[in-house]
Amino acid sequence: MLMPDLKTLRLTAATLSLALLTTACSSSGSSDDNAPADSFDRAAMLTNYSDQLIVPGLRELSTEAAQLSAAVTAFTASPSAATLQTARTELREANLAWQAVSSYEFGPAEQQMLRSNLNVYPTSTTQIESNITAGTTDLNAAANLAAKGFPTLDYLLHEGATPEAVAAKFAASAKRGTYAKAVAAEIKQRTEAAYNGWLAGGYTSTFRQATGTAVGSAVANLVNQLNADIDMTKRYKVGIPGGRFTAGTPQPLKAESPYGNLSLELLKRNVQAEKNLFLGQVGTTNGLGLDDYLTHVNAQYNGKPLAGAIEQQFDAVLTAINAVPSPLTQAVATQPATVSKVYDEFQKLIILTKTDMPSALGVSITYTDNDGD
Amino acid sequence: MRPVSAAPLVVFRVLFGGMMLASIARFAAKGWITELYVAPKVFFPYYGFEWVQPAGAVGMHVVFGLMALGALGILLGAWYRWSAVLFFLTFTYVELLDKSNYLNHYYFVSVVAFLLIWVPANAQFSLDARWQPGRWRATVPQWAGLLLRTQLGMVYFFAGVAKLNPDWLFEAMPLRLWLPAHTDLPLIGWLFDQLWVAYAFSWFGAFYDLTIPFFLSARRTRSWAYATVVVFHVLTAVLFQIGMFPYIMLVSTLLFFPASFHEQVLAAARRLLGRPAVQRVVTAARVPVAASPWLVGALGVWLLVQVLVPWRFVLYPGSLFWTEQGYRFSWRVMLMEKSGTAFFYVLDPRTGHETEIRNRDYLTVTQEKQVATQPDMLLQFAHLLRDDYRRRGIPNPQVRAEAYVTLNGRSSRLLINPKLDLTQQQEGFGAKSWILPIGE
Repeated sequence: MLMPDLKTLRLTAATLSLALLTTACSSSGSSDDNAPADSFDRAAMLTNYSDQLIVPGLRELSTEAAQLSAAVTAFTASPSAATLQTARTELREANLAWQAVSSYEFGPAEQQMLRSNLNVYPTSTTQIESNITAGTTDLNAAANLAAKGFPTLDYLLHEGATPEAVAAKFAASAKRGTYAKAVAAEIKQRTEAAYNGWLAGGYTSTFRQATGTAVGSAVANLVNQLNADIDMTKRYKVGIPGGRFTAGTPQPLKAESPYGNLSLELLKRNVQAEKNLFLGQVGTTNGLGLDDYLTHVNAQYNGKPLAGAIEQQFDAVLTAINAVPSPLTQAVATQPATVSKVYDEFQKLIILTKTDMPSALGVSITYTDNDGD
Repeated sequence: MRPVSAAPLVVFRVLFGGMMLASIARFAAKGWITELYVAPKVFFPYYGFEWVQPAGAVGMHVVFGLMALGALGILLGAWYRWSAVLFFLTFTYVELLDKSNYLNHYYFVSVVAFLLIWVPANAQFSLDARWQPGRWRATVPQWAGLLLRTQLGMVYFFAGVAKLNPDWLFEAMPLRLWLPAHTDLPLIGWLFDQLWVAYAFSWFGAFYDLTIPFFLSARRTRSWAYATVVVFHVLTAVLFQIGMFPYIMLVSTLLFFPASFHEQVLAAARRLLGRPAVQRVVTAARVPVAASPWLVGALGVWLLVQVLVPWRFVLYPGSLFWTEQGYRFSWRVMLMEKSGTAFFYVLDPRTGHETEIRNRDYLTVTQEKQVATQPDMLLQFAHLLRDDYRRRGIPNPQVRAEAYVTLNGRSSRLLINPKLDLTQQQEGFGAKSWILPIGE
């Protein structure tokens, strides 16, 4: 029965096995585990990212967060200008450590939703004060996203005429101290969880095995989250305070860390980290990164290597940032042209990283699976 | 036209109905009903179909429920023609809601569903024939099968014609960008880093699409041709995210097999269901009469339109891939790696102040991606912004867009005039003079 069907089946099976056999035979020349010399070693690139950039970055962040939590505890136990200064220093260091890893919002960091839980700004001072007054607060509630994290500590530890005035507020209200401790403890707990998630046997192997460039692959995660991060840096750290979304009216209090005046330093660290992600670079050691991958596929931009064009544009952004006088909260009003320049350089950067780069790498800029055709 | 065995049509009906049912279940299971048709704040209807609006959370789920009922009716051959009408209407309604979700294979489903309304595919192996034995038919008019095979053949043929362009043939674009992503596949992975492989795939793909309808039609080549159909579609299913499309085509191409094959399939299916074939006396009265000239004429016009629509792009100036004027509904499949970034700006003419828009405040990820590369959607979104800012109290907002687009490996460049006030432009079938040239 079903004669033509069987014949077709046999032919199909024969064709498939012939195809497989041919490829198997011709690939037996190269060993199974080693990719041919002329092909890009994506596995080595992913290992560089996990072992040199992501895991050390998260370790640094969780260490700094623990020190921040301890310093806040010490400050609230005996509020003084001296203990406040220590807490402020630790806040700055932990916040800088966060800027270095904010691009890696996938896997454990995504589970902990670090971007939303650590760094939503502008912070809501009214929500914070009413939480403190209430005394009992569920920091996990969505309503409190703008009343916790680094921006909240920036407000609590910096808002006041003098360090003594800030310390006095804590001395006068035990609830204020309790709240600050809870906020610092959550940062510590979430960054620890994200770091532990990457450790041996955990997400590191998942990350390295998610090869290919489809949605959910390691390369797609890196490219998409780098772009998401650059987009957020551009919009929240520069565009919104600079008035780009409010018809040109500056919004200085919507800057990041406006009370401790760390806006520009955090911005710079963040862009430097994004550049390092692109290059696969730690300090001065340049490992395999997205730039090398672009070079491997010979991606061009106006007749020159795309990787070089992107690196140059990162530098143009950094140069523009250096030209902005500190603090940013004043520069948006007094030197708007310098802030505008930063924003314009960001626009040029994001066109390259969000349009040319994914296209050259065959990475899809979508976060969901779909029926393509 | 002479009557022919009903079996090929009947088998196709069952398989198509089953495929659609599975596709709807998959669509629902992935949460796409809500994600694509309930959650979005705005939609992008087709020109002339702006009146087609989504039906809300409950309504959309009801629509998909009715669509599944229609597919089930097609599968079982129950109230067959009404089921086909129901499926066609619900499916096409959903497709018309938002062009962001346009896929050639969705269009193909709409087209096939429409044709199924007119062919007697419930002649056998159907509940209709069981409930009313008088409706059982051994044969159907020849035009019915011919119609479906011609439509299917055109899908491949025009997909092949579309590949006859310099990017595809001489640059191996976009396959040279897409294939290297698969170097980690077992056994064959290393091949995808080789440029000659991208060229081989491109040329073979074009040859395959252009010729496969003919090889499938000829008795001597059919078995080999179907074997390549299987390999081709399985390979595309492995390499690209194309959902159900390869499987739908694998099933549809069985239409090219002779009646004897399909009769064996039906016989086997009957045995499987424990329903031995009833010996039926085919009287002369049961042989269907010739189709009415009106029907044949209408179907002739249908096929003519199908042949002409893919060529409408020649009426527009500029690069088709760049402007996408006349791009859709033409079986242009997997031809472009095109992506873009678009910044929208709204200006209040009273103050002269300009505000940048956060696209994601309005658009889903998919919509934002489609808007950035397609001029008609850039215009639609600009008009949505105009309406929104009017509601917010700006009487005559001006909207402009800086859209940077990369196409098949070319450096990103501006797609449309970035200074133009898009609120002053109207959608239409005319050429859009404000699209900038692709340059080379």
